[in-house]
Parts: sequence; structure tokens; C-alpha cells
Amino acid sequence: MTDYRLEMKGISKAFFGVKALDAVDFELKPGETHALLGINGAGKSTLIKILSGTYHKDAGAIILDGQTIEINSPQDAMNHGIATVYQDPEMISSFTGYENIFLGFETEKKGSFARIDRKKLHAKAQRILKQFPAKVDLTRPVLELNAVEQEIIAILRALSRKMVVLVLDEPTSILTENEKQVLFRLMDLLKERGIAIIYISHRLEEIFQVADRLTVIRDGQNVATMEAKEVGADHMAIAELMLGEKMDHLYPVKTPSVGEEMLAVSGLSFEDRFQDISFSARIGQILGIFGLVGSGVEELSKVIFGLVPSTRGKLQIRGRDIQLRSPRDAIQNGIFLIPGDRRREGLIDVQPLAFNVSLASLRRVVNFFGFIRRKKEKKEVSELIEQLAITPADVNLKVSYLSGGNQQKVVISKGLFTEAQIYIFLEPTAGVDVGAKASIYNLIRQLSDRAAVILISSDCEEISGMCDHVMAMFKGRVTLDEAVGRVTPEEILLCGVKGSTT
Amino acid sequence: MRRKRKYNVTEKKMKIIAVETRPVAIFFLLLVLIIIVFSVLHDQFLSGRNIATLLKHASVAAMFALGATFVVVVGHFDISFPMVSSLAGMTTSFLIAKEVHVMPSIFAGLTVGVAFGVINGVAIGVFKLPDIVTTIATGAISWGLAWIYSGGAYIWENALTSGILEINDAIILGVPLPVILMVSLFFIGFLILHQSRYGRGFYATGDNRVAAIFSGVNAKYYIVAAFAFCALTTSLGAIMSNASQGSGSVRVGLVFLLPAYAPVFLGNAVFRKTTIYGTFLAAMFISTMLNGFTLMAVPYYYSDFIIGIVLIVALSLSTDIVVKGRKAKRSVRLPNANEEVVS
Amino acid sequence: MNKADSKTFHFSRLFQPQFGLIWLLFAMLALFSLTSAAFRNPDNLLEILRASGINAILILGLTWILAIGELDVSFADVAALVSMIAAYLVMKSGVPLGLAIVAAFVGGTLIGAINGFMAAYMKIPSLITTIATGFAAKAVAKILNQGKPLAIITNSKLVYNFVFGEILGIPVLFLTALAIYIISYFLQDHTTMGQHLYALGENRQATREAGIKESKIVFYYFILNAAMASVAGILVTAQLGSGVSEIGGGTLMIQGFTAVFLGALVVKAGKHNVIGTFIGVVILAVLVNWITLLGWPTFIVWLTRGAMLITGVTIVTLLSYRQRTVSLLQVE
Repeated sequence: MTDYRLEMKGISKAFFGVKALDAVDFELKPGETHALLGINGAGKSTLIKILSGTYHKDAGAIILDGQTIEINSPQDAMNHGIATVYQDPEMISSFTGYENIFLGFETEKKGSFARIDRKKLHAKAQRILKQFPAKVDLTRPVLELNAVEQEIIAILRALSRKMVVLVLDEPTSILTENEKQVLFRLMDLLKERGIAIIYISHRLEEIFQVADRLTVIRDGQNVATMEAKEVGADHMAIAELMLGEKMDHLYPVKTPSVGEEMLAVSGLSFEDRFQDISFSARIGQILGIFGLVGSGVEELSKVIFGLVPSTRGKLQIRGRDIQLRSPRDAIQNGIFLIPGDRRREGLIDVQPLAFNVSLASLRRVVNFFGFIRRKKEKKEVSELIEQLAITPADVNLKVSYLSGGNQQKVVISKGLFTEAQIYIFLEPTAGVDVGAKASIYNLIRQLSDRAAVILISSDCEEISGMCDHVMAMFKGRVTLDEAVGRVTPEEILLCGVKGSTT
Repeated sequence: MRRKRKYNVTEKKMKIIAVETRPVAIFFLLLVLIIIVFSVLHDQFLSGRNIATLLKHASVAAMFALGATFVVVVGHFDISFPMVSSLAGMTTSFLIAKEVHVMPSIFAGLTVGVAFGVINGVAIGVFKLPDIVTTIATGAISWGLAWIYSGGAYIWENALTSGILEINDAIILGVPLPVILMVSLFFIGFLILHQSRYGRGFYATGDNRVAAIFSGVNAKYYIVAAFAFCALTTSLGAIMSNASQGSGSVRVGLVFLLPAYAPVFLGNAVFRKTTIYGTFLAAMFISTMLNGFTLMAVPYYYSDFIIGIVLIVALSLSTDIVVKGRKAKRSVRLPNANEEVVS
Repeated sequence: MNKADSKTFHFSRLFQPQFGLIWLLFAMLALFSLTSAAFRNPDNLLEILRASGINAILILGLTWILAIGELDVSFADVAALVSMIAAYLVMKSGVPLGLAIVAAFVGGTLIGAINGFMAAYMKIPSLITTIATGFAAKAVAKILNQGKPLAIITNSKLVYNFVFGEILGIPVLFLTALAIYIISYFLQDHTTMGQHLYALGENRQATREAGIKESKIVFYYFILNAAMASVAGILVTAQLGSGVSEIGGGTLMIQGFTAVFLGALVVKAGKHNVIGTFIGVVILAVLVNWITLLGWPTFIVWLTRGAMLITGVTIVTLLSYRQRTVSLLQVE
């Protein structure tokens, strides 16, 4: 079987005891474009990171052109000719294109004082570029280039050294239609030279434009590898493969009721990120918004929480028009956002639990003079973390010692402590193990009995399983707005990945 | 399974406690050791008069360190206070020389200092200018202004008659007034930073500004407040120092750059985080050493050298700073929660 | 489209706005010379050049330290320490002048190694490290002769000629500095060293990912900075004829930063670079000289310095915002 360019056999990887990849096999033929599909958390990013040297595999073998190789660092991967281009390639913005292409490899001579012949570098870069249809001005600083040009530079950088496998991670999420076509033609030319491409994207339409074969990863396993031709236009089948069986027992029983309307959003827009969003959130009902990177959901959550002002549209809380100028405003108006990046946005991990939980509502634990009443804080925070079953239940423990699931619960506690009436959850179970997930879901459902809950997620199973009313966003617009009983998870997924269910 | 986990956590906690108390214990041991050594080497060391002198001299440096503490807690550095405080000191001395009453003069000096503190805070907290170079600039400007009063000469008119010397020499209940002032300010600082809700805000802003903002903390205010408070205490320190010398010196604050930061970082090394009490104890520690050296007629530069070394050692052992330094150097990529563990 | 990109030289580029500072310098020189006889006195001009020369050498390394994104406030104290070590060795230990100079130089550079080690490998913020090492260095400088300067009695003509000599009417010091700067310019703009320098300064992550050894490079730049400061210290010693424990009255650090930041406004639109620093040094020397000749009080100098620095910082910061990759709704 050595006519495969790349074989990954039996790759396994676990994080803190949670299995991310379970004996995954993956084969790549020379000159093919192989799409890698899977929902967030399925394991495809982990697989790619192992290939690119960012992670170490726990078990399995990587075979390149018949030779077993070890990849222990990004340098190793590059030396073997495996190049990875991420969504937003890290470059030196003020350097020109050719400088970025040859960063670190400016001359053949060793030593720091080697002379750089810029004309020569430019010419070298031009030579590489000439083979491809793109017209990129390599002499301009890359910050002046648009997205696809930057990606091309990243690809050219990979090409400037030996490249046999190219991994493109969500390359098109920031590209326009025309730019995409440029990229696709570039990919064709690469394939002609025998370079194998692994293409990761959640955009099904594009995948069928470029891929020869595709592999679906689900729950850390390779569930299907097939020729793109076989699948044809049956996107639904792919969606089903990606989702697998529904895990109903993970989600609590739905008990929707129609309560007071707490938040009404109409015509909300923010620059070019999202346009004309309208919905209302009520007590008793969990509103779900499904959206992937680039859909505008993250920006939407930030606008509702007052982090940035909207460009147009209005917000009403309990019927009153409200202007939110800061998160402080939002919290005072009863809104709380449980953010998507727990470590960066949600918690101050060098501080203990009590500190974190009370931070957004210190008024509850201070006396008349503004001094903290530690006993009261300890008591009330302890009650809350007991309710939420956070372990270890020690208010003085630094939150950095907690597991991901427990950390997330701490963030939720912070929100509950503010006694908010409108909760927005952004990716509430990212990086959380299954046990904690179920616990958090129960929490959310119970919460919705007395508050309005909006659940924003890129996991359509989660949306389908948890929510009473479902919306989907694609490229900044609402593409779905239905009661949950009327749509299947697959349809939700499709509305998020291509804007419609067809 | 549950049981095992509990055991591990308790064990972990015990380890944490042991690790965290060790530096504190070592610190106190060293302090006691120094006191013993000096009292053996010089019989006047433990005398009431010497202790009073020690504390009086310590007070000024401690006031500078107090201000620096707040700035470090919010995650920044201030290099302007040596010069801003000198400006404040000269302002006060100038007004006293012009026969303005002591209290208004002091107040004016403090106001000038705080004004610069606010400018720093706004430039750095609101406009996000880089803290170090900005404070170098504001320091230079304030330093230039400080020279206007007298062309750089000492201002000593009326110093002896204005009452400021009396204030400096006053003793209440056996304790020199400057010491009382210093302790009071530290106490206020302690109340604010460690007992009040605002302290939470300061720490949150410095530890993780983004998360603080997501929690409704107004980071900008806290940064402005920190720089303003630093300007306040350091200006007061400069005024006090001028008072003890009987004249306004345009260079009064300059020598306090390191003496301000050394206790902050030494305290950090001992208590694993920047604290008022850590700064206080470290300031006392350093001042005790300095006092001992002075008594033994060791020239100031030897003790300066020791302080420099102490700080370098403290920095090397100070994990918090090390971690913060590492974090600061990582460039900020797009927020992607899931990158670490998932998928 | 113009073939020349931002990195190749083109004469017409001298007229672009970013070179404004050079024109400012020329304007200043013209104005001052016309209005002040004392200023255009050849001896005065020579003094300006001489002072510029030493200052320029002193802060050569600083330019690159700032370019990488680090800080070093110890260079003035290192220079002073080197000065005292050299004087001490010659006068108190009977070491031959040449050897003393070398030993002092090594001593100063060693401090750079400490700074570099702590900043690059222990990841301690370079500001506080260099505050501490600077403080300690100054203390040692004072210890060596109880805080007093130490006059050097030497027969060496070489040193004298070097410091006070002239070639074609221009001080040797200035020419040496110029030469060093021209070499540095070449290193900075035309070798991998400079390339990696700016890459590190702009995006550590990307540079690391490119396989460039960040720690090693940072370490070496601190050593270089201390080395240049050491050379400057030796030159000052020669100029004054004695070792001194404080150079520039404690203000040298601010002067250095101002010059570098001013220089960042020239040539590289916001990035610290050696040519700009050199021009900055000269501008400041001219300015200070003129103000002194006018008899204006010193504070004007300080105000001007401070004002220039804050302007420089603000502009550099604004320019760097433009370059930072704009991410989705970056929260503060």
C-alpha cells in the first residue's frame, strides 16, 4: 500500500482522560484533495495538530511515502514536507510578501550576519508564484494584502520548502467568492505536481467543488471514507454521518412554557458581521442560535452584552428600550454572558473561586462601607457551588486547579450570582467532558424556568437537544427561525453551513 | 473513585499550603536573623532612638513603595513618580517660601502630583499607550516643570518657620508623625486593596483585563485610580522628605525608583502575589538592613548594592512575575476557546 | 508600478514625509547658525559632534533592544561602572591601561549577559531586571572609590588622540560613531540578523513558529547593548580623564530613550532603527547646545525632551496599531 502519500494508522490521543481520537486511520493519496469533515469536538483538529507537530500522539503510526516517521514538533513536520496553513496565518504584517515567505530561511549561508539579497529573494519568490494563477504583489507589506493573498503567501511559504502534504484548515471562511476560486485553482495546480491536500472545512458546497475523497470524523473515530462522487449532492447523508445517533439521554426533558418576554432584539446589525437580527427571549423558553465561525454569532453575543455598540437596531428589556454601553450596564440590566473562551474571558484563574464568583456582583457581599463581608461571601458562594455540584467545593481554591467542566460551572455561578434574568451562553460545553456536560445542561434547563436563556453554539446537536426554539445564522444573517419540533439537527446544521436545507 | 479524588485534592492542598508558607517562613527567619546580627554588631541598634530613626527614614521609601504597589497590581509600571513627586515637592516648597500656609501648600503639591498621575492613567488605561515609555515622557515633562520654580536651586525660605519641620518632627504617643502617616496610608491601602470591593477590581484588572471587563469591572477607572494613587503617595513622600531636610530639592524623588519597586517585588516573591502587607514587610526588611548598615557607617553605596542583589534574587525566585512575563510575550491570537483541549 | 519596494533605496524617497526629521535637523542647524554666533563657532560645533558621537555609541544597542520589544534602563549605569572599573584597575591595581580597558569592557558586558539571561530565559520583565542591575551596577561603581571620581594618570597618547583628535576637522569620535552606525545600518537592513530582529519585535509567535531562536537572539541583544554602553563608558573616561560613577547626572537614560523614539519617526515609519537614532542623537545634542548657549534654564530642555518623547511615543503607538492584525471585535 505504499502508493499512499500519507498513512495515519491507529492514531489515539486523550486529554485529561477524555479520548479525543480513538485508533483513527486516515490515508491520503498523492495528488488528491481529501476533505476532513466533522463537527466541533469530533476530533478532526486534533488529528491535524498531531500531523503538524503541535500535539504528540499517544499511540499509532504516521507513514509518509512508505517510511514511518516521527513528528515531535512543528519543525519536524515542516522538515518532512507537511505544511499547515491555518485560517488566519501568523505573519509579520509589515514585512513584504517575499520576506514572509522566506522568514527564517533568507539565505543558504549559516550565521546571523549573512547578507540578504532582497532582489534575489524577490526573484525566487516570483518564480514560485509564477507557477500559479494568482497575481500577488510580493513587494507590498502583507498587511496591505487581502485575505486570500495572505493565504497564498502562507501557501507559497510552504512551497518554498519541500512540501508533499498541505493541510488547509478552514481556508475559505474569510474569503469572498472570487477569492475562493483563485484558491481552488491554486489547489488544482498543486495537485498536478503531486502534492496531496487535506482540506478541512465545514462548508459542504465547497467541499464538493474541490474534494476527491472525504472522511468523516465523529466522536474521535473515522466513521466513513468515501469518494466525493459517490456522495454526489446528498448533503443530508453527510450531515447524518457527522451527527450519528442522537444522544437523547444527555439532554434533560424539555419543559417549555411561555413566560414574560425579557429581551427583544429588532433589526440588530453590527458593521459587516451581522445584519438585521431580530428575536425575542422569554422566561420558560430556551432560544438556541446555531452558528459557526464567521457567522456572526460571537459578535452578536458581544453586542447584546454591551461590549461593543450595535451599528443599527435596538434592544428592549421587558419592553423598555435600552442602550448598553458596557458589560457593567448589561449586568445592571439583568443580562449576563457566559463567554466562549473560558480561560481568557470567563475566569481569572490565579484567583480563588469566591473571587471569581462574586466579581460581577460584589454589591451582594459588601457592607455599607464597601468592605467585603467574607463570611457572607463564603456562605453564599458555597451554597451556590454546592447547588451546581462544583468539585472540589472549596471557595478558597484557585480556579486554575479545577477541571474544564467545573471551571465552566464557576463561570455560570458568576452569572447566577448576579441574579440576572437574561442569560446568554456561548459555547457552554466546549472542552467539557460528558459527565459535566449533562450536569450543565440540567442547570440550563432549570435556569430557564425562571429566566430567559439564549444558547449560542456551533454544536447543532446541542441546540436541537436543548432548545425550544431554534435559529441559525450564516454569514451574518438569520437562515432559520423555527420551533425545534419542526426541524431536524441535520437541517440546523445545513442552515449553518450553507444557509439553507437544500 | 470519588474518594480517591478527594484524597488527591487534600494532598494537593496540603502541598500547596506547604509550598506557599515556606517563603514566608524563610522571610521572617531572615528578618529575625538580620535583627539579631545587627544588634550584636552594634549595641545601639535596638535602642528606642534608633528604631524611631529607622522608622522615620523607612516611612518615605515605604510611601513610594505603596504607590508602586497599586500600579503593579493593575499590571503596569510607572517610571514617572520619581520626577512627578519631585515636582510636587518643589511646588509645596515654593508655596511655603511665598508664605502660603503649610496645609494649602502641601495640598497644592499633592494636587499637582495627582494631576500627572491622572494623565498617566488616562494615557495608559484609556488610550493604551505603552506604560513605560509614556511614564518616561510624563516624568521628563514634570521634571522640567520642577525646575521652573527656582532654576533647580534648593528652596529653603520659610521652611524652618512655616511649621513643616514641626510636622515632620512631631511625635504623637511616642511615634513620629511621618511614621503615623505612613502606617495610616498603608492601612488605607490595605483596606482598599484587600478588604474592599475595589481591591477586587484592581486585582482583576491586573490579572486578566479581558475577563475583568466581561465581569463588569471598569478596567479603565482602576488603571487611572492606580496611577493617581501612586502619584499621591509618592508626592507625599517627596514632600515629607523635603520637610525632613528643611528644604525643597528638585531631585528629591529621584533616588526612590528602586527603593519603591524593590519591596513590591520582594513582597511578591515572599507571598506569591503583590500585596500591601507584602510590600510593607519587605520595605521594613530593606529599611532595617539599610539602617543597620548606616549605623555601622557602611557607605550608602554598599547597601545600595545589596538591595540591588536582593531584588535580583527575589525576581529570580518570583514565579508570579515569571508567569506574567511569559504570558505577556505570547501574542494575542483570535479567541478560540476550543483550541486547547477539544477536537 | 514603481519597481522599488519599501526596502530598496531610491533617492526620491528622501523627500517623503517620514524623513521629515532630517529636514528638521537641517532647519535647526540653519536657524541656529544664523541667529547665534556662539553656536556657529567651530569649537562649539565640534563639541556637538563629539558629544553626539559618544551618545550615539552609548545607545546603539538600545535601539535594537527597543525594536525587539524589550527594555533596558541600565545602560547608563553600566557605562559608569565600566568607567570606574577601568580607572580602579589602572590606579589602584597597577594594571596596564590596555588590559584595564579590556577587563572593564568585559565586566560591563557581563551585566548585559545577566540582563539577557533573566529576560530571555527566565522571562522576567526586562524593565524591572534592568532597574535592579542598573542600581546594583551604580552602587558598585560608587563603591570602587567611595563615590568620588578617580582621575587616571596615564601616558597613553593613543587614547588622547582618539578622544580629542580630528581628521579633516571632524572629531575622530564622531567619525568612529558614524562608522559603527554605518556598519550597524548594513547589519540591520541587509542581513538576516536585522530581519529576524524586526520579525521578533513585531510578532514573536510567528517568528517562533518560523523556527527562529527567540531566546538566543534576545539574550545576545542585551549583551550587545551592554557592550556598546561599555565602550561609551570607556570613551567618557578618556574624555574626562577620570573614572566617574555617574554619567549624565542620572538623566542619560531618558535622553537615550528620547533619541531612539525620535529616531523611530524617521526612515522606518514607527520602527526603531539606527539611522533614525543617530539623527535623533544629533538633534538632541544640537537642541541642548543651543538652549544652553541661549542661557535658558535647564527646564526648557527637559520640557522639550519630554514633549518630544511623548509625541514620538504617541505617533509610534498609533502607527503600530495600524499594523497589528485586526481581529474580530478585539475586546480592549
